[in-house]
Amino acid sequence: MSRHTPLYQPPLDALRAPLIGRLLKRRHGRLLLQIPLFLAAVLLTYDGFTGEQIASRNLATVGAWVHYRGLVILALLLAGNLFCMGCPFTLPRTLAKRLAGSGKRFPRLLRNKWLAIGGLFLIFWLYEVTDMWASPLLTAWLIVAYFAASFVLELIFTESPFCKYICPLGAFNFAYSTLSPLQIGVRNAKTCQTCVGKECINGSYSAQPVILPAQISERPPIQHDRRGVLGCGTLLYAPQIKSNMDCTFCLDCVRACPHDNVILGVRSPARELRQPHTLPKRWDVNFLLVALAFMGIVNAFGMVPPVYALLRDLALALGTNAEWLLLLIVFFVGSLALPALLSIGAAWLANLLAGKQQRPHLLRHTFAAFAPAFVPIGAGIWAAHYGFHFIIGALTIIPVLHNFLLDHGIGLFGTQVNWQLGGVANAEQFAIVQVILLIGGYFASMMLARRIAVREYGVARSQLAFLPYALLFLALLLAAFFIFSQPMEMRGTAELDGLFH
Amino acid sequence: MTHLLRAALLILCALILASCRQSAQPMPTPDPDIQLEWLPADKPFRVGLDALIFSLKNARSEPIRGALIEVRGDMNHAGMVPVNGMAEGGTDDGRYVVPFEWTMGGDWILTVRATLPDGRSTQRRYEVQVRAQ
Repeated sequence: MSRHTPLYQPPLDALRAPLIGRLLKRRHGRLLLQIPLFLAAVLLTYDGFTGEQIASRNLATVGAWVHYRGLVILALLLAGNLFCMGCPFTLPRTLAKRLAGSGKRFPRLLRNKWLAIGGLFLIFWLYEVTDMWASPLLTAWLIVAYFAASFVLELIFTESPFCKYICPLGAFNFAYSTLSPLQIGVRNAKTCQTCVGKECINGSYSAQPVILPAQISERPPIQHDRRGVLGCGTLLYAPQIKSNMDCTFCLDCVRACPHDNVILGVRSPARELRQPHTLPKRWDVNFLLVALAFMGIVNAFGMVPPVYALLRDLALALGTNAEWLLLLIVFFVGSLALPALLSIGAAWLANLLAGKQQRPHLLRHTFAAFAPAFVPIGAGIWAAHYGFHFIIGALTIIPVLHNFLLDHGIGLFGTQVNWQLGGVANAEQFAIVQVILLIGGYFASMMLARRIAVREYGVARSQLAFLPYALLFLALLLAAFFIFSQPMEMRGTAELDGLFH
Repeated sequence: MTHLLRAALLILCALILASCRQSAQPMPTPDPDIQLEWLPADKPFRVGLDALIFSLKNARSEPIRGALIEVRGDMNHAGMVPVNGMAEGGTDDGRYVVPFEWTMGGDWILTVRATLPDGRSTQRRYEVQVRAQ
């Protein structure tokens, strides 16, 4: 190595990219994404409330359940948490923050991911039980509820509790952004050690904290402004960030740093999953990663014919045909009970087989060590599901938007709506991609679990510790294959009693 | 105060827009002189080609011939391309057979519109469950 080569090479800074980097770093750079998404949210809400109540003809349902879901997983895998970065729900949140000043902290008892896990469970269950995909009105109410919740919580508490502890969409994005190729970091760690203000976390009173030499003149370059620049809303300290978990990609830290030392670094995807100690060894954070993989299976299971048989058997066994109750049981077992039982069981078995039981908290440590391995297979399942809806329905937004314009007397694009515009590929063609996504996710999870087993138990005992996880991932893969090989059947308006004939 | 005025103005604009839109208008009241009825088969609906039979009669239950029946099938899930079918003329007993393909299992919303030779029309909507297997 040359004498002049520094030992630490900062990662490539995506914000140094021409134009886009500079735009994003500007004081209102985030609005570049937020304003279009805010306008889209307003449009979706408006159409949901006032438009034709047929899901495939309404912007609310097409936008939310086809495009948002498809694009969010694509963005997470290709770039990062772009949808949290452009989240329109944070606009009223920012307003609330300004109105409220310094609120109190979120209750200590709730400063974890359990609320978010509960929120994810609730939203997936409500999605099924209310046939939300079929209802533009309910979809519009969901968007309104999001705006209201983010505003009220920010008004009462500091630390952006909605983003960090509650938002189910955010929890999904946080979990799968651990695979993303971008991460907040610092250019030079020493700069942070001597930094007095820690503006990246505390915020700055200056609207433009960075002093550029070119701007230094007789007039002071810093104009103090009562609005200043916000620090990290989720209280992450830039030089200590090892994971994308809890990072909304808002870039407030980048803007607030007076030393221009915070970067959006390019890294190898999933790097944080391969390294130890990047995520806290907490039950809640790690259970989120595990549960999401199972939720992916259960969410897709609700759309294939075998769900009828299961609901019918359950209804006969319990003597009830209350659909909400039957779905609650299926979702509770599949999304929470089964992942808890199987993942804790696998951790216990791994310890038992590898013979490493002498340290305290060992089960939690093993559970936490292997939890990141559930991320790739989970992402594969979600991408196969949401990608399917997106690919077969991507172009349907065109006639729906065209129809919306005509509905308001805007005939700019002609008066004939081409309703036959559908997908960019058909379901059969996308099946190959689904197989690639599932198998790719499975192998990535297997490799990750194998690597973790070697790290935790040593080469000699790693095979035995790896075995329970290998079986669990195989079971998840087979379940996913079974579901995705079924013909799709959109259950909804028909009542459950129709199943008993 | 200015913020309140702006907000009120925005809400007012949204309400005006909403009231102007065509799909916000209620479905036309069916013409009492036109009886449009779907005669579904006894067997459950399954994915694939099907023939939907409609009966068209006047208020005195006399068959109507020479009409146009248009069927639009929308799935209740967003992102699905609608399926269209139509039949013209009808049989002597006022029956119209519309060739129609159920492209996917699940819940469908059928919107059926009958246009008579004299230009009068009526529209009805049905919800149907189609089995994938």
